[in-house]
Amino acid sequence: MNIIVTSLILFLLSSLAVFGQEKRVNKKYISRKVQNFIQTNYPSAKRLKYYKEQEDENTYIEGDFKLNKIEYSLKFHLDSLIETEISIEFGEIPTKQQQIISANLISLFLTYKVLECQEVNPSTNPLYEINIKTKSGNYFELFYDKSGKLVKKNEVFIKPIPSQF
Amino acid sequence: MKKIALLIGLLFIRNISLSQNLTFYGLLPAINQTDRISKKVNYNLFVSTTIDAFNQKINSVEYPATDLQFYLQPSIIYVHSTNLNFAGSYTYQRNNPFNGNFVNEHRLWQQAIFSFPVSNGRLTNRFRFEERFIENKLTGKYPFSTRARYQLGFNTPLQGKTLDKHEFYFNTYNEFYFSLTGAKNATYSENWTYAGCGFNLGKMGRVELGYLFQIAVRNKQQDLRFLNLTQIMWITNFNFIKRKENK
Repeated sequence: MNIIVTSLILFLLSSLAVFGQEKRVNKKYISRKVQNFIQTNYPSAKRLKYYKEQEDENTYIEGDFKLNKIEYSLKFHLDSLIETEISIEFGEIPTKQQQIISANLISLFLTYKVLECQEVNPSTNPLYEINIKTKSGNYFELFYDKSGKLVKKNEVFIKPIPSQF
Repeated sequence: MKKIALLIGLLFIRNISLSQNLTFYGLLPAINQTDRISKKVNYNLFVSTTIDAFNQKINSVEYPATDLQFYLQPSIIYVHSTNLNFAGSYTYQRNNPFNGNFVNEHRLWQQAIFSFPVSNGRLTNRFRFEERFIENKLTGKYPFSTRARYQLGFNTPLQGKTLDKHEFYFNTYNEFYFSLTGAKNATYSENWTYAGCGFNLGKMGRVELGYLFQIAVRNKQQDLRFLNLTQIMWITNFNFIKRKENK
């Protein structure tokens, strides 16, 4: 029984890891400008951690922290803030938009499971980012605007487990 | 007590004198290309050759440096999830490819890999079942035999949690080979142990350099063949198939 529970937990954790492709970096390697930005705008930030992310040929710095029990993620490119993400529960999205998004997800996938939900750039160009896993085992990240309209849909492709001989 | 010790000593000496274990040293260059065919299906092409790099004379028998094996393994992989993959293949193997006494083998296999994260790396369990058709030079026929293999492996990035461009990683595995039916020298017939380090080149893939130690039971007398190999592999994900991406 314990083996089954442990296997299930490991399976779920690794499923979530599909969306986490960053690498943790020490504060001393982060520019003063980025550190000052977080310190000035979020002075009460707790458990601040920095990550380096490689997308195509670009390198991004991500600062993750907690503020008033809410998880924040700030993404920087060349020391400039390019994206702010706030982790939310799917149920925290306003009811009307929640219904529109749910209807859209059902029309696209019929059966799915929400893995992660974030509010992107809430004060500038607000979007909801929803990470889901479909019944057939495919992973998607979907972006909705504040009215609940689908803006972008990306499929996250899983690489096969390396094997030789 | 002295008599018992002497007897054990004599038995030990007898075993040494009768054992015909052979040890070789060589090189194993390989290319490993993987790409996506569809959302869930990938293909892999693995090509390698095993080279015995040194001339040797063991018990008055000459073993010249030679190419021991050519191996061509195209396979289709079904990616069920990040943790579970299935694959199938037709594999062609030619032993002593450049000698007159070459032996062809046609092989079909099916495998399942179950993998899960451990610490910063991933632990993989690979189960493979093989249907083998190995050429018999005397009869000219290809008698059927089967073999099961289990590989336990571990790989981990050496710089941080993920393997990024221009970073190193570590890879190791041990594989057990069990000959089940057909002609065989032993049931537990082979064991391969590997440990190596790789470097992520970015778009050009990865290069991996490691040490592969192969032990094989080489005859009915249970004599062994040890192969100490330096393995160098180029692992690529070149995109040769044009596909419509999801927008």
